[in-house]
Order: sequence, then structure tokens, then C-alpha cells
Amino acid sequence: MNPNDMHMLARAIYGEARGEPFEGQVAVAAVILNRVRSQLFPNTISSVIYQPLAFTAVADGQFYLRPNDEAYRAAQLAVNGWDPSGGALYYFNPRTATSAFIWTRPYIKTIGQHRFLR
Amino acid sequence: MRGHIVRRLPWIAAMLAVALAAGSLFWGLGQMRVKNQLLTRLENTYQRAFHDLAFNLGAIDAELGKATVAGSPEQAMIRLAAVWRQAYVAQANVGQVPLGVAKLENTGRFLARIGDAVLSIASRGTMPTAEDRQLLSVLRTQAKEMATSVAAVQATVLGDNVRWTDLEMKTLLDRAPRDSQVLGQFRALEDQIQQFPEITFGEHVNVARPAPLAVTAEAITQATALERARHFVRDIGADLQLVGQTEVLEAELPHYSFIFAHPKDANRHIVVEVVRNGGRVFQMFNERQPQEATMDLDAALQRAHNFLGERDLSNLELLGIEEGGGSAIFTFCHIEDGILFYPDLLRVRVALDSGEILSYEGNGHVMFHRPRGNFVGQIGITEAQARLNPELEVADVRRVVIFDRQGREVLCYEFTVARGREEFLVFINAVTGREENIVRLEPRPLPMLPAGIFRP
Repeated sequence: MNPNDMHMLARAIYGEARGEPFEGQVAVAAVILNRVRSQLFPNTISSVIYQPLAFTAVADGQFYLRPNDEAYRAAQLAVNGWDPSGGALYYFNPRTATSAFIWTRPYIKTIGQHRFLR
Repeated sequence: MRGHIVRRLPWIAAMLAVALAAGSLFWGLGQMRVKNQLLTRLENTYQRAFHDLAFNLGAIDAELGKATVAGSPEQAMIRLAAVWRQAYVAQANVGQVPLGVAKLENTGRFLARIGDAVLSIASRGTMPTAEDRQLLSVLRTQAKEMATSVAAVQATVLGDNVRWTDLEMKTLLDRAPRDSQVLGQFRALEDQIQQFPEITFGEHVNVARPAPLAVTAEAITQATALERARHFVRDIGADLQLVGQTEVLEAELPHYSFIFAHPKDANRHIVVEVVRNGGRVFQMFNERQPQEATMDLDAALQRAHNFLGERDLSNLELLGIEEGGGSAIFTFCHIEDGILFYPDLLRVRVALDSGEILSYEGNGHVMFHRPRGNFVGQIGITEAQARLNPELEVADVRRVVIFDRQGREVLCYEFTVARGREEFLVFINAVTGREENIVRLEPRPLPMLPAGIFRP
């Protein structure tokens, strides 16, 4: 794994899930990696992260904040195979989600504020 | 003098107000101009992605046609390679069209499968067989339909001057598709692909996630799972307070998830996940920020072995170590009769300040570790080595079981080879002699497998 990919994952974690339980942060990175591996999504970490309409933190610029140590620790676990999301490809925060469609995907579990979906 | 100004105050105020208003207006108009310029630039990138996608689909159709007409293996491979390249780029472009991540799932999946299939056929190195041709013919029919549909959308986009940034806004606000002809057309395309008859790819398939063959036991109850979870983290405390529990059925591995409060730290909790079928713990978090490292890796490794041994996890071979941030992640796999079983993976993360076990994951081990029949090779080491690239220096060889591209467990000779200063692993199938895979060892103090390469 390119160390720069780790930076991007840590940023995505920090932008999307800072303040969430640690395993919730690992889960966000795991979703990104699950997407890279999936046939349904782009094939590189950056193209998954930068896919239009995929991550709100990327759209609103929070992705450019500097991640903390916790985010890096979480990214490292995700890269090494930990996946608390149960193989999820989607997640959202029910309190801020605007899309109705997201509620229709099969629900796996909730960690902190995030619901993880297939 | 002051009275002079005071009498004019209303005038001065009025003129200031007018100046402010006029200034704001000009500033606002300037901002709007900048905004429109940026919006146009964004629009242009989306247009590019979409029109390129239309082109890619047309090219896939054309190159597949040429591949079926080719009379020589070389030309057939060139055409199949061209299809693969177009499919890959098309997938990237699909990812850049702002329709929302789920609205082009089937399209993305189709492109991935077609890419894998043609790459697999081309890798034969000979003319496509009769079955290959049959497969290519079916794929071509479907690719042609897709190309035609997207070309129709292209006509709409060009004819009606559709702006992708508008569609993006509609998707964000989740407006109904009938507001836009283009969104409706893409929905129809996705439905169309859904209706395609099921294709038999045979061996030309890339199985990313083999079925979890070891998770076949009876489902256990949540109460039993809780006991298993408590037992797993007994080192942390005897009567941990349970603060959350859920049953997770839709996950890849249906499981129970338990959260305990850490007895010494209110800000910290411990997560233990237990597989529903069979009751093995496959994931555990006990994380904190490590302080200054005081242990060396050997001592930390010993802690990892002790932790695993106390949980009946033995016959393990260390595959690699990843150190950083005050902790070390040790990756192990099952070893039996001198054969390494890479699917049966386990990882432990150890804090280097205290030797505490921070996290554990055994997805691979839980999914695949089971009694297996004997793996018997048919080819000896010398014959296998003869299949390697002759320019390589062989540093080591061992027998391993890995997944092949079709997701089957196969016995291989794993040759550690060097080429110049770079090290690689080359896997030669011990039964067929096929070169199954090549892995590059990342140059580190301790040569190790790249993280996640054998993750199921």
C-alpha cells in the first residue's frame, strides 16, 4: 500500500468520522476499501474518494483538514484487513442524510452515528 | 465647523449608503461571474467523462467484433487487450459522471466482468477456444445494446443542451427522475442490463471473495456468543460491563457484536464480534493511543503468540510485521505439514509501550480454516523451478496454499526470487505447473507480504 494512499484514507476518516467511536472510523475506511475491491465502484482509492456525490466531506472540503493520530491508527487497521462494517459498501448519518434512496439499501449495522449498508 | 458637518450628516450617510450599495452590487456581480466560470469548468469535466464513456462503449463493441474476426493469436490478443483497456477506462468514467453512486451499479459491474473475461481469454496466449468465442459473442451483443442506449442519451444531452451540474443538483436534492429525461434514460439502461440473460463465464471470472467454507456450523444464540466474547477478553477484566449488543444478520459474516466498557478508562470501550455460525470471535478492538515504545518487536511478537495460544490458536506462521505509531501489527497464517495456508489469516496488533493487545482480526482464519484433505503435488521442486523466468535468482522456496483467480484453493510452490535489488514471490501451481501469481515484496527492514494482498 502506497503510503500516500494511507494519507488519503486518514483524511477521509477524519473528514467523515472524527468524533465517532474508533471502530466507526475503521469502518468508514473499510467501506472505501470495500468499494475499491468491488466491481461496482472505481478501482483506485482516490477515484472512490473523489467520486462525485459519494462523500460529503469530500464535497464540502473537510477532506482537506489535517487528520489526527486516531485517524491514522484507524486507517492502518482498515488497510490491514479489519472491517467492522460487515462488508458494507454504503453508510450514512440518518440525521444529515438528504437522499431517500439510501434508506432502501440492505441494512447491516449501526456504529455511532453511521448506519452501514450493503 | 462641527455644526457644518452635523447638518450635512444625513447627506453624508446617504451618500455612504449609496456607495456601499453600489459597491456591493458590483462585488456581487463579480462573484457571480466567477461562480459561473467555475461552474462551466466543472460542467466541462462532467461532459468529458460522459462523452468519453459513450466512446468507450462503442469502442468495446468494435474491438470485440475485430477480436472474433482475428485469424492469428497475436491479433486476437491485441483486440482483446483493447477491449480490456476500454472497459477499464469506461469504469473510471462511470465513476466520474455525477449521477450518484448507486445509479450506475449494473453498468459498472458489467464493465468489470467484461474486462476480467477478455483479459482471461487473452492470457491463454493462443487463439480463443470455441467456448471463448461463444462468450465473446454474447458479451458483444450486450455491449452493443449498451453502446446504443448511451448513444441515445448522448443525443439527448447534445440536442437538449443538458447540463450535468443541473442533474447533479437534482440528484443531491433527490428530485424524482421524471424531472429529467437523461436520468430516466440511465434508469432504463440499468434496468436493461439487469434484464440481460445470465452469462456463464466459466473459468474467465475473477473471484474476489471466495465463499467462506469454514463457517458451516450451527448458529449459536446471542447469550452463548456473549459468553464467548467475555472469555475472549478475560485478560482485560472478569466482569466487564456490557454497554451494547446487536445481532448483525446482513453482514458478509452474520455475527453478534458486543461492546464493553473498559474497566480503567471511561473513554475507551472494547468491541468483540462473534460469528453466528460456530461462535468464533473474528474481530476485537481494544484500542488506545500508544505512548513511547519500550518493547522490541520480538517481545511484542511473544505477547501476540501468548494471546493467540491462550485462545487455542496455534500452528501459526508469522508472515509479516507492520510497525508504526507505537504499535505493531503481526500477520499470521495456519501452517500444517510444512505447508502455509494463506487463506487462514490472522492479525494481532500489539502496543509497543506495554505489550497490550490492541486489536485482533481473524476474518480469513474464521472463514477458511477447516480440516482439509491432503494437498498433494504432482510436480517436484526442480520441475517447478524450471518454469520460472530464467533471469531470476531463487532465494527460497516453500509450499503454500493460495486462492487462484477462480477462487479455488491450490497448492503451490512459493519461490522467493530476486531481480536486482527487488524481491518477489512467484507461485507455481504444484499440480498444473501454471504460474498462478506474482507478488512484489515491499522493500522494508523485514520483507513482508503487502498488507491485505491475500485478504479474502
